[in-house]
Amino acid sequence: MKLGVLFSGGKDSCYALWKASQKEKVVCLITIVSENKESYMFHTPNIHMTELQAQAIGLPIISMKTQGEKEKELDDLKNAIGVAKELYHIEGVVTGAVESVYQATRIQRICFDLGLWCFNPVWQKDQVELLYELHESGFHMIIGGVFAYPFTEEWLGRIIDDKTITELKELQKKIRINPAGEGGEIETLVLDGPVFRKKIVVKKAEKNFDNYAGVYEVKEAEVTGK
Amino acid sequence: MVVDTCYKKDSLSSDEFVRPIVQIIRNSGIKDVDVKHFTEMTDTAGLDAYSHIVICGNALMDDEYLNKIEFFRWIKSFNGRILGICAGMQMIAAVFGSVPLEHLRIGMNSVEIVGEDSVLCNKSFECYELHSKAAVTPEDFIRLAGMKDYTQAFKSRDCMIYGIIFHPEVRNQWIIHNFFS
Repeated sequence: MKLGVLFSGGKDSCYALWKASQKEKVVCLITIVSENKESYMFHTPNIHMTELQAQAIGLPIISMKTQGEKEKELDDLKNAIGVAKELYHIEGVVTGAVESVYQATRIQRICFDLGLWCFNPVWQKDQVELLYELHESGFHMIIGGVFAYPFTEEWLGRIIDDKTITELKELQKKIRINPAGEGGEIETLVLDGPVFRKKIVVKKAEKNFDNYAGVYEVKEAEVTGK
Repeated sequence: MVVDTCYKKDSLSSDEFVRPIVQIIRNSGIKDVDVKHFTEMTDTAGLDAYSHIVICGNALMDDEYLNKIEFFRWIKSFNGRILGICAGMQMIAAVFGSVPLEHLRIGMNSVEIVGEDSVLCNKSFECYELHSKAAVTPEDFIRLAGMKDYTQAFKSRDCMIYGIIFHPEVRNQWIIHNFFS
């Protein structure tokens, strides 16, 4: 089955892409670039990196902008998926939805309206297990954004490795944060992994942080051989 | 045991509809959970080894299982407990003689349980529904929840067979814990 993956460049969509590639044929990535940083539907930090990630992965990408108005952004998503159907003849869409019923139901409805299958391979997956599986499978992930107490500026750009996962687990126990950021506490950026033919090297980045919220904004990066 | 009703064995859909159920069962203290694809349910002799079977749901576009009722005939002869979720519920109803209705639902909806029941013991709750077809309550079954001609949950009058159209892995894991307790 030919599939398109809704791709934000974060760990969940990369994991979904990896799973889908093992079982079906992924033919394109689909990205929505939202101008609304508060979007309930779309990941925004470092979304500009998806073009480079697609290059490193070796898949074409359909990238479309939305103003990010609630519900109207769904029309933009539907249009992007429609373009993927027309250009790449996709029969289904893969998402990285983990727990958000809000996101999942809206994408399910769009797919149903377009006569497409909808797959959510990360659905309801244990968050800590997901982080370990990604790390142990060779995904190179960094924290691209933090949006809640107690995350400080030092978390920005940090590599997600065993030490980081242990600290996230401790924060989960202490103050009940979601360790994989499903509650929007953190956003991630994937630079390499089993689905990448080449890897991404960040050359220059800026940390913009204020009051327990900030973004590690990649200003310059390149695709290089592994 | 958990029965996978997805379009093929080890499919991409099984990560969404089977893995979460297996995880909930393991979290309830049962470590050995066997998973079989519905097309493997031809040798019913070995089923006596199981006390509980959950038949999982599948994707909205998946209708492969609907024309393969012969792989679900074991439901009638199995002596233990059965819980059918969504497509699983539809197949229980089909084996007992009723035909699924076209009925699209995507998202959170309310459930009101009628009467007392040990598995569906909460009187009212929100549930996650994802289906394009719904089961009709067969004869010899009691409707536990629903409205007009739409059934959200039923159980057999004679044996421990339950059907729920919604997905308990989302916000209603207690149903699976109750089913196994």
